[in-house]
Amino acid sequence: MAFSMWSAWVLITTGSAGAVAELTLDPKLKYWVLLPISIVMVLTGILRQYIMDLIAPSTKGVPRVKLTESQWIYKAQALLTNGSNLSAEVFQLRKEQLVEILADGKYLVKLNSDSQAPNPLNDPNLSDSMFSMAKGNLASFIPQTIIMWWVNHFFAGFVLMKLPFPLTPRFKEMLQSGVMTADLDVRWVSSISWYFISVLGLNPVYNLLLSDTEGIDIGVAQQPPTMGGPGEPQPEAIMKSLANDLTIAENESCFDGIEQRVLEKYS
Amino acid sequence: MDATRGRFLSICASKAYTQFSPEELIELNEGCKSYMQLKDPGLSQAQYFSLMEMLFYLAVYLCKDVEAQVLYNTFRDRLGEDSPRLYGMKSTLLQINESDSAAVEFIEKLIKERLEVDTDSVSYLLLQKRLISIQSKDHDKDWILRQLLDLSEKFPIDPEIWWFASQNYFELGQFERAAYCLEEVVLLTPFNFVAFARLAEILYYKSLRVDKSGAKSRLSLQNALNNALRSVELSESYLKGWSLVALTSSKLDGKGRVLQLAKNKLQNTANGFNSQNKATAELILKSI
Amino acid sequence: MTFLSTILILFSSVLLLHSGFSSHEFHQLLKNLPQNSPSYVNRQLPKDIQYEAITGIILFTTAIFLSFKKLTYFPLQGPRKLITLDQYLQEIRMNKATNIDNLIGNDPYGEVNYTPNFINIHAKRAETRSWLEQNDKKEI
Repeated sequence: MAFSMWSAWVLITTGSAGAVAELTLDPKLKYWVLLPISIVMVLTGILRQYIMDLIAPSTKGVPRVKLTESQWIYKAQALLTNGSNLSAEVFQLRKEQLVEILADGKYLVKLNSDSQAPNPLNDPNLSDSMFSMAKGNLASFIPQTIIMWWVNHFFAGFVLMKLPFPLTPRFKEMLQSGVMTADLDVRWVSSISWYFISVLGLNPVYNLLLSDTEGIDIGVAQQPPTMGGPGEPQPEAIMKSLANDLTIAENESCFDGIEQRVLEKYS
Repeated sequence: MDATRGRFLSICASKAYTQFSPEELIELNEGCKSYMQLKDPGLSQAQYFSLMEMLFYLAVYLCKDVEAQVLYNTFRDRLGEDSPRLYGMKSTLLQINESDSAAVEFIEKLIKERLEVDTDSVSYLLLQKRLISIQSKDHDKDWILRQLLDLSEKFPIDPEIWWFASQNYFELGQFERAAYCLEEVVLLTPFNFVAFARLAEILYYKSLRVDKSGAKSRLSLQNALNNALRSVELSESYLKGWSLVALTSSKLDGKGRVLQLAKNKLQNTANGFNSQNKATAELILKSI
Repeated sequence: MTFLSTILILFSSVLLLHSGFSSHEFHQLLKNLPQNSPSYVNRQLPKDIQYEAITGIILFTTAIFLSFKKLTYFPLQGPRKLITLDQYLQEIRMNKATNIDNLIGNDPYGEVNYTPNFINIHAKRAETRSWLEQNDKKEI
């Protein structure tokens, strides 16, 4: 079937050099090239999503002390952002307490002192996360390569459609790969470029199709990111800087002039 | 249909069923069951599971032990045993089917062997809370409070611990400490207008019972008024908030306009839909 | 109300589809004209097709708005009486949006404020048990 398309090649009807070349495309191209590529792209996208779900790493546990450490950091942030809910003297009291705790590093996780510089390659957490990252990348690269091969093998050299907007000649290489015509207008697009456009532009479609895949929240509790992963600032540094932020924080209480505000709002 | 679903989901999300009377519990249990047999298409799977969880606890409260066990088994088969809510359910089941000590043993073992080194953000905390609630009947309030404060040191951003602590301090008559705990709650849940009203209530009691009279009492009253005002700023028709505004402003000098406003709002509530709120509003209007 | 909106949606969809098809036909005809003919040079969609499309869109939007139902609620406790505030959309501002919660007796922060994890299950069960016993006695 698709092989009969080889005969349905584009015809250059009119156009002297320099004027806009007008092509008449075989309408069957739409049904036998454009549609199949799009459908295959969408289906593989959905399939990939499901595969990613299957190989997604399960929520990883952390030691309780680590949790405590990051929660104290959140606590300081909560005081900074929501401090306006307290009156001035109460805020001052809490601020002093928290600054002391953070500056002392009271809840910092004590690392084993003998390994001063942990070797990043031996860290099990790190290799775990790298492995899952590699799996994710594989799951997206393999189908892409296969489909690209498929498009190139069966649909190479078709001119599929004309973009409704003008482009600079630079795009020629990308959009008309496989079409050996030197002076064809850039707006004409070959099948491999339709593939590229779909790769980049199908995300909203996936969002629409897969929108109902909210995680089942009864089993899997969402996990706030824990501090101090590879490449992030260490909790000790964060605590110190938060302690500094807190010391200079000014309290703007919401109780200042609240009577006036409520009276204006409701009367 | 939408309204019925909304009602069940609100009860489930706010855990209001923990406060229901037996009669209401029975009504809710039957209503929810027959609703779930309708297979409402607007109910997502996550919502379906939370309703199931509610049914489990309803069965426990209503002493339908077999039903609870069946529900737990369904959950276990669908989701596996290792998740915080299932730990919670299992400890509850152990409590009713075997004994408190079995539940305590289960939780302590789980925490010691597993969760201390490998926990998600909920399991450890949830089980510790359950542990405290199971053990609380053998101990006095001081013990509970000590446990709560220890736990809050480990998990400083959990508002529920603070609320419970405040409740316990309030029952002991230590209003200042109760207020301190509630201030933590409003720090962690900044738009919690219920907590603001409760804070106002506690400060109001403090000014009446502890401070008695004088400048200090006026200060507490002013604080209470501020918190009550904040509560109604966040929620326009909150009955408890307006009642406290009315109560505190009637005891302070020069708050005529606020008092008048509060009276108007209470009058509005008294003319409103909700019959329970109506009665309360009328009562408070009479008492001022 | 919903009947009207369904009719309108159907009607406006027909309008939209028809105008789209007409426009397609028009362009097909244009392609077959020689490029220097006068009607090709000032090609423009005929006015009636444009009007049809615009009417279709306006009707469609109105129909969608008409299809909204008034929001209704049941109170969480007490007698089941359907409450409605004559609103089609929910409020955005916090102090207004919580009015519904207050009306139906819902506490949006109940997960904190009711301390559900600290519930004493035995007390709860004892309470229901005694209530059930009392009620049974009454019935007998």
